[in-house]
Amino acid sequence: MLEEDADKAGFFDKKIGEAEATGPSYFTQGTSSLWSTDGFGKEGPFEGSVPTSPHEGLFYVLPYLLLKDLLSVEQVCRSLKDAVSCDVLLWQHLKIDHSLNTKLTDEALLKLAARSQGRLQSLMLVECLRISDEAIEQVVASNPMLSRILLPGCIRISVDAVVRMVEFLERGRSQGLGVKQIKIRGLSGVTKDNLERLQMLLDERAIDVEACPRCKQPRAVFDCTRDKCRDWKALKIPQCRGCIFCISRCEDCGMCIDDTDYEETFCLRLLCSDCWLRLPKCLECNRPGCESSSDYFIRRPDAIFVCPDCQGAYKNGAGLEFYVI
Amino acid sequence: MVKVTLKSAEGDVFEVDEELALESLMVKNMIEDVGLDSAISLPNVSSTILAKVIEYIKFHMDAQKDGSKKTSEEIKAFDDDFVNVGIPTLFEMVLASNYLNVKSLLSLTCNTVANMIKTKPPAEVKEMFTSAKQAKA
Repeated sequence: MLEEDADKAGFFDKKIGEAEATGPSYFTQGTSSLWSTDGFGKEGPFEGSVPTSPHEGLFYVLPYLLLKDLLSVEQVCRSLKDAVSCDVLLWQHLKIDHSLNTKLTDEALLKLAARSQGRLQSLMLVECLRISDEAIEQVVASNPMLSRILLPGCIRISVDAVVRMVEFLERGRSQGLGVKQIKIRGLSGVTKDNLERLQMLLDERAIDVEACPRCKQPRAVFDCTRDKCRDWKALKIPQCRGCIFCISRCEDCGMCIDDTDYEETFCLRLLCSDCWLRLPKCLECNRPGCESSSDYFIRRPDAIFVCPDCQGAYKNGAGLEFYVI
Repeated sequence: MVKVTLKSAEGDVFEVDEELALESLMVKNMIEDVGLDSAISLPNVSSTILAKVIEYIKFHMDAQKDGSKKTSEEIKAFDDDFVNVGIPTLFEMVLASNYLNVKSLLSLTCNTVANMIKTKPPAEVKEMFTSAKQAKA
């Protein structure tokens, strides 16, 4: 293995030498090779790696990567690890979505949040079921610059904890800090009392939950996207506005589906017939997928897939998995 | 139309419209500092890459002009084709657009590389860049 590595290193050395000899400029000399042999990678965590370091251009790409890809790239070699984990700017906005949410533990969240060195500005956790009040409050306590706390569907986090966090962060209001947006949809214990408390602290539009105009319960309330319903003032009809329990809506376009045909997706959400026609469908049962069940590939119109019901696929307890054929 | 002379790393001279040159914020600052009399020297950009950057800016300037018949699909097709180059060239364009400070090109090239990396495990990322190098060498 060592010999092979040495061979590879020699190979690269030679090629770089050639590039320098023929390279017409400073620019090509320094960068014609993707990996230069400065020995950085030798001690890198990546086993059997060629002793090289990445092209300078790769460092400019880092801000364009999603969290999952950043964590992947930092394991490639030591210079990338340093570049990723020490750059505070890459960690000011932490977003954990469906690609990682089932794996995120309290401990991991604290480690990731610590990388911003107290300068975290927004925190978005989508359905991170394992995150507890203690962890999130610890993150907020050490990051007073946080202005957006988005926790949709994090069922272990209580709204009482959110109230405490907002009270803490609002103390910085005089220094131009303070909370601009919170999402508490799907948290435990969203009651009228603590919603009112939050509405006292914040602008109403900063909170994603409000009292439904129909059932008066504190829930996410939606406006209709149907042209007729948008024009409710001119047409003198009741406003089409309410929580999903009061008014059923198409999962994809948000139109109310009270008086039209509708279909179910395989995750049992409703779709209007227009959206049903447009979305790709499971090969077996011909039911379409929706946004909540898939991150990216089902949204491609040409995607061919078999839904988890038909696959019977619950892989390693990691939640639903989709298979592209 | 006022012309600006740009000089690449190899010393090749590119004469472009001032309007086009101003799209690069770095060149714009240079013009403000030293004026239009002498050629603007760009020692960090090779001729091939500079030609590509000029081609990109020219296309997008034309597309933005009033009366341009280019659809958003045509613009996207141009962008896709433009970044359909080897990884080494792509990285050089990242560096050049950063140096020249052309925001739209920097985000186009960086997003292209980011999409290549997307959802790949570390081993494959490493493999991707290493094999690209070997292919070039």
